[in-house]
Order: sequence, then structure tokens, then C-alpha cells
Amino acid sequence: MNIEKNVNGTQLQIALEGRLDTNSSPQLEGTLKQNIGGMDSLIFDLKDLVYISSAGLRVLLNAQKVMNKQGNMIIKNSNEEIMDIFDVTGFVDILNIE
Amino acid sequence: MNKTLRQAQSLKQNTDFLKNTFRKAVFPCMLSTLSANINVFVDGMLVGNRIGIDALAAINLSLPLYLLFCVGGSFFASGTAINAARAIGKNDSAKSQEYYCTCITGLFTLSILIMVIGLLFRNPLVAFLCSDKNIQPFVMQYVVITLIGTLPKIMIYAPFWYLRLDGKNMEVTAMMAVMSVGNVLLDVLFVYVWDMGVFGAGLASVIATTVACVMGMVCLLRKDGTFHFRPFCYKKITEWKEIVEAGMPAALNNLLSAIRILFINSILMNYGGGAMVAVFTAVTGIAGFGECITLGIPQAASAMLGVYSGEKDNGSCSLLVKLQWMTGCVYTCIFLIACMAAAGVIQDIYRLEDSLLAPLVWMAVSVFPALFCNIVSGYYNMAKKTIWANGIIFSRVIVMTYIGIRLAVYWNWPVYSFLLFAELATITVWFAATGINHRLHTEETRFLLMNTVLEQRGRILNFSVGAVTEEICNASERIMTFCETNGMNQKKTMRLQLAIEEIMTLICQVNEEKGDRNLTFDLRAYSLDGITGIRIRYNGVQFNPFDGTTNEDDRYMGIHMIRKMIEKSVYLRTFGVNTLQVILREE
Repeated sequence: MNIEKNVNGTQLQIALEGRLDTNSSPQLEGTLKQNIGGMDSLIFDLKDLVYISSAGLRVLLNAQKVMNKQGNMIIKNSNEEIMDIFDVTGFVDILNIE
Repeated sequence: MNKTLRQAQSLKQNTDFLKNTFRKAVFPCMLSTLSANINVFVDGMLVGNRIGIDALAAINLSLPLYLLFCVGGSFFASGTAINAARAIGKNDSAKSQEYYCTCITGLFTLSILIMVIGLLFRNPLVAFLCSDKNIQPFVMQYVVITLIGTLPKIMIYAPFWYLRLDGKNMEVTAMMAVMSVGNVLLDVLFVYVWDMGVFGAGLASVIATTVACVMGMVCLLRKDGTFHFRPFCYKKITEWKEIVEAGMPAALNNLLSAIRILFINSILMNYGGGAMVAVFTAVTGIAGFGECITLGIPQAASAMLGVYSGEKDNGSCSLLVKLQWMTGCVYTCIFLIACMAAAGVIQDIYRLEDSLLAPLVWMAVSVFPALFCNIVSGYYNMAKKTIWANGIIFSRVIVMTYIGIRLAVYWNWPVYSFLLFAELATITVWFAATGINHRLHTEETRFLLMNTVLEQRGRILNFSVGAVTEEICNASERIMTFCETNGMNQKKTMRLQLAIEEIMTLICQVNEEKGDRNLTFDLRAYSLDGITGIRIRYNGVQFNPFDGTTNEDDRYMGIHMIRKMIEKSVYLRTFGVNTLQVILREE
């Protein structure tokens, strides 16, 4: 998985490309740990994300919990299949999805 | 080579999983066959040495009664167990229980019938077995005690087959070890210490078998076992037809073996007299040790073959056949060397004047093709190609043996060459027959007659995955090619990928917690008649990821997600292995 991060003041944008699974989720978790501190806006761009498993969902959920205290988090450009996963798991009600 | 082709080729089935499971069953099965044969060998050797030739002859003459038990026991037990294994392969555990109950009921009924009828008609029975008035008293003693012990001698087939199907190979080993060691120890006590003669030899065998049988039945009837008894027996002809078909090869093998010994003894007696028959008796005794390879190895694979055949898993069946052959060849080489080295000692034990070296070498070399024949016929039986299985058995045990010994006598070949001739001639005929079959049925493979149309069309994919996160995620990714070949949309593809990753990741975590580091996975993805699913087979601890209890543990998030995407899941534990079948919901 490729992670492209972009910091713009107190806004952190993370674009994910590829698969967010058990193997690659620690990589995202590490990136967030290093960069989330002090941010009041976190945006995930999932345009090029083709797959997400529960491991990836856990990372997003933990990020949401942190951002609930610091600011806000948005998930955008999810494809149909990723939206299906959010829907089935009930994450549509937990995450802020555009 | 493009990326998708590389992806498809990288998902392959290896032998790791099958090897682990097969190897656990090999030793118990070989030991059990050895135990069964050692009874006769030890009884004969001890009694012959202690009491004399007449007593030895009495035991040999009583063999047909023992073989009758083998025929009846193996018929019911193998016939029902093979069908139970196939039912498990088709996820029909209720049917497998019915076959088990039919086995117990059938074996019990058969043993009571044989015991009662045998004891009532013991005089004509003994007269039939032995015409010599001097030996008849010995035969009567041995036959009566053997008949009293009919129940354990026949019932023992139930734990032998069903404990293996349940993966309790160590229990089978223990049971058979008790039987063989117990028999030897009690023989020494009864025959040598207490001078109980032929009756003592028979009593030793009955007591040892009874203790082993009780051990086995206690294990089998335990509440934590897969099989649970209730008084039940199939009444419909369709089910009995299945049992007869599946049980026929094992029963036929035992029955034809008895006939084989009779006509070989007769021909050798005419050709070389009593001395040649005595040599053949010794060769037959040692051949019993070879049978622990030729019968034990196929038996070790039988439960797995039944399950894999039931689910039409051609890849696993094929790998198992190869595994049996490779394993068997190693043991056969050891057996051949042992026969050559011990020929002189065996000659002394039997007090023979003629050398045993050449006969034993012919017999040991014939074990290689005999093993091949038994592996192939064992597979055919499991795959419901019973005519082929019976054909191989009939050819090698009767037809080619008869032709071989007649040719050897007529053309003055080394007479024991008939043992090798029978096996090689059978293989030659089989080779030709499968060639003809392949021309007529091009959809079947050349030798194992497997229908691989579904694999060729990409509707089924078998592959192995190591219990490592990276391999699991790679497999989850690479299944995409299979999905594209079967015209699945993106949503369904993702669900299949998720099922693979979530289920296997959780299984790995649970096994790691419980300290089991020998976990391996064998998977099968299929898309047939609109049904898409995966079958995951894994060793390790007994664990069903979809167990009914709701688990709020964070690790189960993936399973809760998958549960909403699947039509159903079916979990079974057989031959010590977990099998999980997951069928995706059709949108």
C-alpha cells in the first residue's frame, strides 16, 4: 500500500493507494502516530484504495477517536465496494463519509 | 508472462498440510495391520515350538475362521466408514452419524450371529476345517475359544476405522499396541508358563483383543467425540447398496486372500511337497509384516481420501496418492533389506531345511508393485470407482497369482517369482485398461480417472497458504484472478477476499494464543451453479471462528463483518483437522 501524506497547517491529508489489510494497516497506524499530533483536521482520500479489511477499519476507528478530541475527520472518495463495507459494518454511522 | 497469469500460477496447493495430517495416521495404521498379523504369526511360532507340529497345523487350519471375522468386520466397518467420510465431505454430518450407528449395530449383530451359529455347529465346522483326526482336538480347542471371543474380534473394527476418521490416531496406536503386546505376553504366560496348549494361545488372543476393543470403544463413545451412538440401522436398500459397494473391496481382499492361500498350498504341495508348503508358510508369515506397508499405508490415507472424494477435491486426492507411494517406497526398501538380512534367522525359527533367502527376496520385491496396486485400488474405492478397485484386487490376488504360479511351475521359473509376476501383470493390465478408458472418456484423467472439467474451466481452485499474515494477505489479493475468470463483480470479489483474510487471520491468532505453531491451511475456492464459496481446511486447535456465541472481542470484528455477507457457514472436525465451508450470499 502507498501512503501519501500532505500537511497543510493543522490539516493532515492522507491518500491511500492499494489495499488496507492486516499486512499494511500497521504502516498506516505508524504514519498516523507520527503525524496526527496537533492536527485539528484529518482527511482520508480513498480514491485509489481498492480493499479494506477489519484491520484497516480498526485503524480508521482509532483515528476517529483521536480526532473526536482534537478536531474532525473526513473520509472521501470511497468507491462502491469500500462504501459497501462501511455500510455492512455500520461504520457509515461512526465515520464522517463524504 | 503478464501479471494476472503470474498471480494465478502463484496460488498452488503444496503437500505441507496433507503431509502433516497423513503422517499422523501412517504409524497407527501400519502398527494396527502389523498387530492383526502378528497375532497369527506369534501364536503359530510359540505353539509350534512349545507343543509341536500338530498344534501349529491346528492354528493354520483355523485361519479361515479368523479370516471370516476379518471379512465381516472389514465389510461393515469400511463400508460404513467410507460412506461416513464421503458424507462429511459433503457436509452431511447427520448422515455420517447414521452410518456410524449402522456400523456398531451391524458389527454387534454379526458377531452374536457368528458366535451362536459357530458354537452350535462347532463339530461340523471343525470337521470342515480339518480332516485329520489327530489334529481335530487341537482345532476344536482353538475354534471354540476363538468363537467365544467373536464379539471383541469383530467389534474392534469399529474403533479402528472411526477413531481414525475422528483424527484420534494415537488412541488407535495405543489400542493396537495393547492387542499385539498383550497377545505376546499372554501367549508366553498361558503356553509356556501355565502349559495351557492351543487353548491358551487362543485365550491369549481373545483376552488381548477384548482389552484393546474395550479401550477403543471407550474412546469412541466419549462425549467429546465426533460420533455419537444411538440404536439405529439403515433399512433402505439404497443405503445398503452404498455400504456394500464401499465395503466390498476390503471384504473381497480378505475373502480372496483365504482362497489364494488354499490354491497356492495345493499347487506347491503337488510341485514340491510338504517342504515347499512349509517354506511358503514361513514366507506368508513374514509377508504379514509387509502387509503393514501394503495395507497400512492406504488405510492411513483412506479417511482423508473419503472426505476429499466426497467434495470432489481432485488436487488433494492426487497429492495424497503420490504421498502414499513415496512414503511406502521408503518403508518397502527397509523391509527388503530386513528380509535379506534376517532370512537365516527366520529359517531357524521355523526350523526349515530349505533356504528362505530367495523366496523372501521375491516376496519383499513384490511389495513395491503390491503397494502401488493397493494405493490405486484404495483410491478407486473411495472415489466410488468400485469396479476398478475390485478388478485390481481380483486380478492381483487370484487371477494373476494363479497364472503366475502355473507358469512358474510349467516353465521351471524360480517358483516364488509368481509373487512378483502377479503384481506386475496386474499393473500392466491396469495400464492398458486405463488407456482404453482415457480414449473413451477424455474428460477423465489418464490413471486416476478423475473428472477435472471444473478445474480446467477455472471453476475450482485449490491452493495452500502458510499461517503467516503476509501469505494470508497475498492469497486474499491473488484470488482476484479466480474471481475474474468466474465473472464475479467487484463487490463479490472483495467479499471473497475479505472472507479469506478475516477467517484465516483469526484462526492464526487463536492458535498462537494456545501455543500451536504447526498451523497450515489448504483452501478451495469454487464457483459452481451460481454458488460461490471457500472451503478452508486447517490443522491446529479445534476452533470454529463462527461459533454461535456472540463475541464482543475486538478480534472478532472481521468475523461479524463476514457473517453479514455470507449465506451460511459449516464447520466440521474430522481426522483431527478443522474444515470450514463458507458460502457467499448471492446479491
